[in-house]
Amino acid sequence: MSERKSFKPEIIRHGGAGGGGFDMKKFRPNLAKIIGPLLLLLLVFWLVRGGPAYTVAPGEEGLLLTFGHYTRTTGPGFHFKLPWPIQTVEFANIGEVKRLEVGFRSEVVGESTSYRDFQNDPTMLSEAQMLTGDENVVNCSMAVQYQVLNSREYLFNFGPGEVEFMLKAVAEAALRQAVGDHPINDVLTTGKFQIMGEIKDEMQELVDITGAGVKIHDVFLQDVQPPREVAQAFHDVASAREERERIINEARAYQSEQIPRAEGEAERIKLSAMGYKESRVAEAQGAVSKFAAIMKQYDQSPEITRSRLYLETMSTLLPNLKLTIVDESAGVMNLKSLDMPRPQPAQQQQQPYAGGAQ
Amino acid sequence: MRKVFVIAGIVGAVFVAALIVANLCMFVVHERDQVVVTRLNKPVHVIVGDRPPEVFDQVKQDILNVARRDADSIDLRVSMGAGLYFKMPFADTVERFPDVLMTYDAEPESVVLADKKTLVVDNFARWRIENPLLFRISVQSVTAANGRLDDVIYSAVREELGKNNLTEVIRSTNDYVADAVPQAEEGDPEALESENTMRERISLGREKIMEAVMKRANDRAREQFGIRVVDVSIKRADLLEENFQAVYGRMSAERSRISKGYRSEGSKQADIIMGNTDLQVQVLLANAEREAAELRGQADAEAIGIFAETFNSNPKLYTFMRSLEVLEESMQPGTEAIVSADSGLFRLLKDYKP
Repeated sequence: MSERKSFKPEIIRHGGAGGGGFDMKKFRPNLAKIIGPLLLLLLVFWLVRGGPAYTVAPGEEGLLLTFGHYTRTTGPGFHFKLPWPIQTVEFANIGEVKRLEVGFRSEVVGESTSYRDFQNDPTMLSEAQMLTGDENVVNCSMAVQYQVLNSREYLFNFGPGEVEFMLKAVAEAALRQAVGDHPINDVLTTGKFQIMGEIKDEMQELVDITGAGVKIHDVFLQDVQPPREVAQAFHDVASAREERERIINEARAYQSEQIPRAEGEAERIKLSAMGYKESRVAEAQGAVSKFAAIMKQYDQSPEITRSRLYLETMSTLLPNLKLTIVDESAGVMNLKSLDMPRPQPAQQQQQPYAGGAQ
Repeated sequence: MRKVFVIAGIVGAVFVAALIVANLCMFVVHERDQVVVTRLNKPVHVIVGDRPPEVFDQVKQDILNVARRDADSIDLRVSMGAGLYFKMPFADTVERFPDVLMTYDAEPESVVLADKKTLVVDNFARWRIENPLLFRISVQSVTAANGRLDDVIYSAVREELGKNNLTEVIRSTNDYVADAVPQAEEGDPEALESENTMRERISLGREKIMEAVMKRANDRAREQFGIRVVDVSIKRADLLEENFQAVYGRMSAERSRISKGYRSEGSKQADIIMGNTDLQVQVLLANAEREAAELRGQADAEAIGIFAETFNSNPKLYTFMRSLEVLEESMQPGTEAIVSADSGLFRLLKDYKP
């Protein structure tokens, strides 16, 4: 019974069907038939939309308003409230990390994601194109991840959907401001990390002055490229850089080939000199000990030793010579025997005592 | 059964009557709303959104001033905050205005800068209604407000940007200036290239310029429309289409300078390495030769020392032995020689004296 009483206003609002007891006799059978299901439907509607209870989904917050005035924030689960029109509830998703895209759009179709970006879409190009600090042009696409931090600010400081619209503009502004502070090389290569940090801080600052209740988690520079018109020149820089490395590496290769070879060569020269030294000394010692041995005999019998040395030499020497012996006292010369070929030039000969002869 | 319907009907009728009365005498102000209540077109009650107390006092004063400007005697209440409010049935009209921040995204406009460069500027502003009464009188709707803001903001942007050069508009800090110099000194061709423009110091920068734009726009909008401009930012600042070609040309030229720089840097480094290599090789070999010569000298000296010591003890014998050796060595097999029969052992051929 009490339920019926409370949903009466709903009925009246929706067309005034429950017009009291007027002409009851005539309409009573019909009324019972129509009102029954209608009441049930309205009851369900009221329970869901404006009734005495509501549920908050996980990751959401339900903000309870009494006559439009903020009363309290409720977490996930089941809650009672005064029925409409006294209390209403508004929900904010604070768990979800939302995403925002600048300079490209990803469209998920089934399981595959397709991208529209500044390379295949002119509208994306105008979003991605910007000036760098050294007045060059660069194309950047960026993704931003953010989350609602303060549901009260998020819901009441902006109209529905307005925060997202504002964030998009803020993201573009922050991106251009950060890129505008750096030279193109930083943007394209080494400075990306720093620039992402600057964009994030700048976005957070711009968001905070309006009290949007949003936290910027991360900023990712996606695709950063020079404009197509100058891409060739940029590629050439990259290949020139490679070429520099190549030339230097070739020189290093030459270095690592030549130095060890020269070291080897130097070592060889030194070693052969050492060899010379060793052999020279050994030879000298050999000759000296031979001489010492002969000298010992010589000291005992000088004449005999001299003769023996002389005759030994002659006995090895003479058999190999073509001798012409001339008797001067006979005064006759066999001219025929003098008609002989010129002697061969003396051959290079080893002189074991060369040093000693000096 | 019939009785139930009668009771239900009565309860329903009471409820309807109560709702109608409530609706006539009361109204709800939502957190996102501000309200101006007019009684037969004369403003009687203004309810603004939640503000800090000092801001509310200021706003209240502004609202009262606006009302005084339009009428000699006023009977105006100013309240703050959402909730349930009363009004006079039939006579009072409730007009609602948003109490939220609105983002106004202007169309891109071209602006001529102080250095005569033209920039296509796309800016956006965030604003809220601060004085609902003045807003109600001078603007009336949010859509109309965007048009008015366009005039105010665009003229402020034009004025402030027109006083500054392109560098000032594009950059916000001088932070990089300090970084650019040491990098360039290390001889990186790319850093050298950007150094010239990045070294230029800015006196204001984008942030300060836009702050000035915001102040200028805010002063006018507040006074004229009861709007507070929270912030004006440049979303995009691009060059004109025809200027892009010039920039691309310059960029290409810069890059080819950098490429050449890298290439000649490479061959310079390579030449240095190869030259050093050749030098090292020569030094190595020369040192080795020197050491070798030293060793040979030592060897010879040592040998001479050894010989001299021994041979000096019997020079005569040495000379004799050496002569024999020379003789033996110089007479190769087959050597023809003419010798006197009077010499050496050949005397025996001629004259034997036992």
